[in-house]
Amino acid sequence: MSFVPGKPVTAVVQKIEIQKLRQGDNLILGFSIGGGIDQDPGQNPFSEDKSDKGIYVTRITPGGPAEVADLRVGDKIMQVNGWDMTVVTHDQARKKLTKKKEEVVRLLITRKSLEEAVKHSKGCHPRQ
Amino acid sequence: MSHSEPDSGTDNKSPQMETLFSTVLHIYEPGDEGYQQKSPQQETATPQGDEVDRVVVPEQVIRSTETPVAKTPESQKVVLSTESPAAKRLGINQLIPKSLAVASRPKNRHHTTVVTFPVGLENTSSDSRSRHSAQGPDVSWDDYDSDGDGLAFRRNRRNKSYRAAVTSLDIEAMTAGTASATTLKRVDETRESSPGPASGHRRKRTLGRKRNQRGSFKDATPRLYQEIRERGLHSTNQDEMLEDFVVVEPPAQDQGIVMKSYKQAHLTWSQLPQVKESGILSTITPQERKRQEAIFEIITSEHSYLHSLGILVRHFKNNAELKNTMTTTEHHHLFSNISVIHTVSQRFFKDLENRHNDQLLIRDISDIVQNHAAHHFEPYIVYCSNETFQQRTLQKLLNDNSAFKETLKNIETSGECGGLPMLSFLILPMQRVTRLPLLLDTICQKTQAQTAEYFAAVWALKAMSKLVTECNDGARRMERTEQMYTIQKQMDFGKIKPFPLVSASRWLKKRGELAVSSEELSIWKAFTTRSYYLFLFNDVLIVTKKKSEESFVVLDYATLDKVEVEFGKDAEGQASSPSKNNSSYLSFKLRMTKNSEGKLEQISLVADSRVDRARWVIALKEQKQDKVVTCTDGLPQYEVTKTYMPKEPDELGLRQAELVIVLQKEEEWCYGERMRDGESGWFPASCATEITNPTAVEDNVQRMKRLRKETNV
Repeated sequence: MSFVPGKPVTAVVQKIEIQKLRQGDNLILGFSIGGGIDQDPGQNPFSEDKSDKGIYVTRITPGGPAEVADLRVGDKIMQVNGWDMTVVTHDQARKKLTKKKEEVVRLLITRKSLEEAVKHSKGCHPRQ
Repeated sequence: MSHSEPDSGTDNKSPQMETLFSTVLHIYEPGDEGYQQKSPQQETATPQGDEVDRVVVPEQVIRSTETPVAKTPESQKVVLSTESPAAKRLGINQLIPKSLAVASRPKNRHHTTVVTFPVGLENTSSDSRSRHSAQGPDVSWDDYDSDGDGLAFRRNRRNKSYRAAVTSLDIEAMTAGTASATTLKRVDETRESSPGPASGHRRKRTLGRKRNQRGSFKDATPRLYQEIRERGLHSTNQDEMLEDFVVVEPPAQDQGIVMKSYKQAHLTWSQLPQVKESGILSTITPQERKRQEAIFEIITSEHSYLHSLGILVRHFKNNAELKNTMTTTEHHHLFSNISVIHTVSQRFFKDLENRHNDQLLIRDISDIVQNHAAHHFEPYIVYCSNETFQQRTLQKLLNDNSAFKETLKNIETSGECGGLPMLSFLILPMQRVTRLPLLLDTICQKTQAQTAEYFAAVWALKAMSKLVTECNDGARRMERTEQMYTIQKQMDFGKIKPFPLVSASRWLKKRGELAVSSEELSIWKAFTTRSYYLFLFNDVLIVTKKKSEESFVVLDYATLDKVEVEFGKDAEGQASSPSKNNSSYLSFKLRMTKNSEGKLEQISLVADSRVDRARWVIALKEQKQDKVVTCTDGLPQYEVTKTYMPKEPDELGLRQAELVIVLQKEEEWCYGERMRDGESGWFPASCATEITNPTAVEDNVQRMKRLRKETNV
């Protein structure tokens, strides 16, 4: 998942659709994010490449919409409703996720285990 | 008009004269004796515009050591600073009301007397000098002479710089030759500190300040940084301590002579005399007070750190004898750029101190911190990167060089170092740079959110955290690169297809010897090896046979995604008696689905102990797990009680007072994650104790989260 400036980034992603939950006046998703181009990437315990400034899921509220939708801690968010999340500031990311008018967010996330799974399946079935 | 003279002292001859006395020392009221006399003479007698509100005490009076407010109209032209509040302030007494003044004055006075009067009075002054000297016998005239610039920003000497300044005045007086020329520029000891904001009792404050400000946290011997544990690092108990401390003290104003010992263990901001006297404690909110405490703590700890660094530079680095016992390269590796760091720290502290002196209630130090962290602290990165070289050189010298060891021991046992080993001094910069973010975070916490100060504090914290990361990275990179080169040299690929080992993204995670399970040996006993030596890197596993300490023959290797590990089949029967001599309960199987030749290979290995096996298994499995891990909430937190230096690659280096989250415990070793940067590894359980207080645990978790920003959506 390392990012080479100028080259297109490829990743194996999974689509996750989360229905926001209404809590009082807010619509919440039930997870926390960390990271961003304005943050310190070295502090990210989930990234493989410590210079990765992407947005990562740092916590999932148990029983919340995110958990239900199978989002996991450590996932890197690549897109939110079509908006790119790989080169955004922390605040921009938050804004894209917390739009009041949207009740559903469709995320594209990537995680290491997905890559492994694909590699593994490719390896075992070379014809594929 | 005499009451409030503007500071016309700017035309004094010596720049060293602090002439800021202004109207602070408003001691004499119109009704005071001697007051009248002063005014007319004042103008004539003081070309330098001495601000003295007080009467100039003529010779006779001084000698008699009586109340200085003598009416001696005849020698009014001589303006002596003996009566100056400055003189008074120099004493250990507070400025007391005139009615009580008699007993105390003479002490102060003599001190200046010596200076002002060219000959004659020196004998008188000498006795009083000893009486007067609050700092003890360490003050001597020699010191003053050597104290070239009286205003030198010296620790421990601040309250003496007045004397130094006065000394230089004396010289002028001497040369001038006349008594009238010895109009003393009244040295105002409070020059460095602004009179401060709202306080009616100016004189008391200034008195307090002179004596106390410098003396307060800059004791004659500040504590060594190694011995300090900043209060800002404790999250919970600090607040309670401060809470009950402050409320009680009523401002004890000038009731007689107050002698305070300023060598207090841990002076807090609230305990500073000038703070107490100015009475602002009652006007600020408790949160603001805590904020001030936190700020003050950074200043005092920097002071102590600077002091310890100074010892390192002066006593260890510049020691000629020590230098002679080793080569220049070794000396360079050992001390690296510590002098530069010392200078950097001095500048930082100077800025901090200036701010502290300017404002009693400090608005903010974040700008100073930000500035220094972003622009001046690069030497720290260099120093931290050099850490491995430093450690290794020290180890080597201690083992091989007996002259070095001897000399070092002599230096260490000398009083200055407090009996601490040089190593503890050498790791000071690393300790300091990692503690600063935590201290800054405390300030952030206590600053009101959404204010300009808060944002500034957050920025400062970020700048500092960035620096720390760079230091860590630098250190890690150096270490790994070197390690790879060494290993590369020791590897002999033999008949196996070689592959380039040294790579920017590869480092050693674990190495060790493992015996081959005896079951396998049964058939091939004579021919197969008894044990393998494994090198586990972050992406590849190399199985070798050890030929000697420094050379290994590669038997096989595989990339880690092709390696699987499972416990030996007797894993379930672990509880059974350890007397089984094949100890298969310590075994585990290593399966390489695709080894160097592309084939499936399986080895059954036996570890030395359960701990060892656990370590290997974790290390081998780590790749699988994505490191995503654990929501580390709910796992036990441990606080490090003893510094631990990692000896093996999969061990975790720990510094005292650090926090770790323990993921697994095996006999007397623990596998945990360092809270400050998320690194994980093994460490002995004896180095850390569990934090049982749930509030503290939660606070720590919260604090770490703040240091890594995270938002809930």
